[in-house]
Amino acid sequence: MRVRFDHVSAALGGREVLRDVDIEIRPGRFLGLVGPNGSGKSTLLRTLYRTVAPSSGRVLLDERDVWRTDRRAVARTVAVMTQETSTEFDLTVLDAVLLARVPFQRGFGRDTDADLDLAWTALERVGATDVADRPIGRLSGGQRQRVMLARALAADAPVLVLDEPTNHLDIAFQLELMRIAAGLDRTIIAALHDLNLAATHCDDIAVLDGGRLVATGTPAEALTPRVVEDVFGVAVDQLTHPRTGRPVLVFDHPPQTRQDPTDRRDEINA
Amino acid sequence: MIDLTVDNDYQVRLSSRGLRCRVIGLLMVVRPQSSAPSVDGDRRAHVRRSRVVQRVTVAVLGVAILVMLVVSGSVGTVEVGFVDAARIAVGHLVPNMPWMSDGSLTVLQDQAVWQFRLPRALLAGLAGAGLALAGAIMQVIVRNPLAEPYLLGVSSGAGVGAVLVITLGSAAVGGLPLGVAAFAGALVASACVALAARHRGVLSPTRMILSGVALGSLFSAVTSYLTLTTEAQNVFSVLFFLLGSVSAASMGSLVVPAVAFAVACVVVGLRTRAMNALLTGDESATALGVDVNRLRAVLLVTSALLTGSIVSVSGGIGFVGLVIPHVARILVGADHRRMLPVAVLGGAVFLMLADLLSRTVAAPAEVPIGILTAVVGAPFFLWLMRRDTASRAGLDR
Repeated sequence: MRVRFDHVSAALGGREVLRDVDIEIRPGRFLGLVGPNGSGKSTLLRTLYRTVAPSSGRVLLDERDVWRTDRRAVARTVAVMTQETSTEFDLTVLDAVLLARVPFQRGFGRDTDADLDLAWTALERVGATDVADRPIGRLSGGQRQRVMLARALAADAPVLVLDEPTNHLDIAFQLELMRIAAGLDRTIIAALHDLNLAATHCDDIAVLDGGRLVATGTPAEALTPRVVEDVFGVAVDQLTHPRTGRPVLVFDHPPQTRQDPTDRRDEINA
Repeated sequence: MIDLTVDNDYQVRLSSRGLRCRVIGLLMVVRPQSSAPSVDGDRRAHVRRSRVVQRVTVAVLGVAILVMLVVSGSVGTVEVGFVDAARIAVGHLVPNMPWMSDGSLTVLQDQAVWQFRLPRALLAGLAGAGLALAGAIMQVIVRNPLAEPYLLGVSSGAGVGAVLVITLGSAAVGGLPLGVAAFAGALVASACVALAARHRGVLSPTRMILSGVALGSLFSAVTSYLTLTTEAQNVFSVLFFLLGSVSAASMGSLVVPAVAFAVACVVVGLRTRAMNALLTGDESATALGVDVNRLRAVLLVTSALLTGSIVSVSGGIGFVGLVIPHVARILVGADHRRMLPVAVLGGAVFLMLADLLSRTVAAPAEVPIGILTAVVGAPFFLWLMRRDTASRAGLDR
């Protein structure tokens, strides 16, 4: 399914946090959304899963305007892995994953065998079947992220939204999560902080800064050292991965605050 | 027969020997058996486990309600045996039962059971079930384990209504009888709290809790002032209402709370999955297609009407609405589809037991039921809370 942010602007508490953002994600593509904290990544995602209404512009799923479609229908199309989950009252892991089926069910809401199969398959995929009976609150942060990913997968929806999915994850599962996501035949939008992780796994990258879209394209086109320096205000160098041959970005303090007397940046760049 | 064995990870297996479990009091407690952790690959076993525990608990509670009705019907100054109490109840419900006309039961026995003991046992059960349901609703609305049915000032509002009638006479509130004045007070209070908590069209949990506490104090202050300035004889009536009592129950007084409870069961029953989604947070519930604001509003109105209708008949019985939902979560987990039936039945059994004790422990005098719920309930709850199983209700944080 095609997702299109059509000149979307949004305001939170009177402050404009998105300005005229125009992005199209073609069916089956994996878009990485990067940008500094507060650049509007999460807000942009929220306009897609009906949590923040755009002040102008439209969010389209194929040709349907998300904000003119029944919210349950949107929830059946867009599965979301949100950043935080409340665990004041604990559901078991399996029950938490089964919540993905809420928008598909009617009446008193008994889980069908098909629901259970989807939930169980999702748990297998993230390697969390062994904790299926545990309360979510007793899991480690990383295990909880796995379960949240499993919930998003169990929805079996054509569009997947991941809001900073690699938070709390060790490097092995960060890579595994990105590999799982990249291997799905779904349209995926993920807000990510790790630029190299985004560059190696996403088909496309969109860079947000101060609520505006400042760069978009393939990772090589969008994540140039120049763009990253401008947007994040850090010094950036591009190396070549010794094994894969892919470009890798490395970061340092910006020049005016740098205190390292052994800086050899000029020599290298020359 | 089913065999139910449980290891330390609370994984339950079924086989075909006897049902192995321990029944303590009225609640089934599953005893851990082996220490070896087991990973069960079969998803169906996970589901069956939770279903079996829940069904056994519901069945035990259902039987307990019937037992409590018969025992309540039989206990008291007029002697009636268990069998006769059951016969009287059945005889009134099913026409042409032979024992109703063959002279084996006295008129006094019939009156004691059908007009006094059964109505109050039923009201106790209804109030317990309703308050437990309302408590579970409030806890999910504000996503806070300390929430209870009276959080939004329902009991303090009802208190003002009732105390106005008791101290100034029903002319002061336009000729409304005490029950109606209490109901009106409850609804006015909830409406005030909801209006005060509403901000930009959104009911936020924290605002609800804080405005409930603030307005609750205000209403309680009014009640205290009216109580202190009235004649001494009225003070007992006021205390009696505030502590709660089911002693004045008649079959007729059951109607309004029964209807409110039935309606609430349907409204909530259709929303158990949305309520589960709400447990994980507003944003994640929204992403699951739940209209969070509307769900909160519907549940809030349901809870206020249900609690108001109960308080107007039985006064402000405390403890049940706060604690029974937690007991249900400890026993069967937080999923509302499993937890609500256990909470409702458990609340009924608990208040029926408390009522039975309230009229027997100091007979012929009566101990207010609100005192007994706390005296009996607090130690039981603390015991349950300190068990290892309690952590699955989220009590370890």
